[in-house]
Amino acid sequence: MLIALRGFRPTWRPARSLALGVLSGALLATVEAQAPGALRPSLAQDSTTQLAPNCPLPVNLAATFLNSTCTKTVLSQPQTFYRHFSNDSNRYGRYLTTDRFSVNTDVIRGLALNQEWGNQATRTLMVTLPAGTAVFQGVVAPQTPSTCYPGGGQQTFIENSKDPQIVWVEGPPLTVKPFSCP
Amino acid sequence: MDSRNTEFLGLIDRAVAAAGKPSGGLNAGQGQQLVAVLQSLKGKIQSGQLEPSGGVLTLGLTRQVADTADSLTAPVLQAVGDIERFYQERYKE
Repeated sequence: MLIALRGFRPTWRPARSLALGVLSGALLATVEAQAPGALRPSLAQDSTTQLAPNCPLPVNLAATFLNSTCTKTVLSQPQTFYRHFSNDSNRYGRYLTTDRFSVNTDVIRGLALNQEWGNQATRTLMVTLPAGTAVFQGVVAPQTPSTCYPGGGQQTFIENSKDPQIVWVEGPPLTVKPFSCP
Repeated sequence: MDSRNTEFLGLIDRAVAAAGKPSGGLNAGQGQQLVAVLQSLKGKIQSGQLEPSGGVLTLGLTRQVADTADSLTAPVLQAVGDIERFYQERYKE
């Protein structure tokens, strides 16, 4: 099973991806090489934190991406992403996506939202990041149990979700279905 | 219990301790939730029910803590990162 995961392709498909319309080359001011070295001082201060070889983030954060691989992009103009949540405790955070889902169970599987944490992904936020924001992007890593949380969705990570210039707006509704994990 | 599991459980205990500290990087509710998930993880390890990582799977601890922690250098984030690394590197099969 784990060998299969390496070549994992999700069975679900996002209804639409913002990447198609928004992640055009015109908006990408800077796409850094995957080699580390340009990390902002806020993260680089901890000398005990190693940077991942294929993602310009510390190893522990890079591991949330499939195969610890991501790229860093600095937005040249505002860009809108999605975030899925179900209550105030998981409304805001650093993890976003460009994938647009239509069913909450696809969100849970594709973004690997382990239900032990309580995010049932019943609602959507449209999150507009200001120009100059660094985004780290890749594929969601699978989580155990992998039959329930295979990941494979698009993952966008930002360092500061409390930036007052970020605009959080309620997005389109999702179809809500019961999710079960044996 | 083998030495691998003993080491694994030790890392989890460290994260539990960090989660309970006000300076750990999480608010009280987040800390309690993390402790509950860590205790559940301990149970799976002790009962042999934890799925091997195959070097690919994650536990989702860092994903959750990094989502909302006050700081990306918070002690609790370092602690769960150690658990995740152990799981990927030492709990492959």
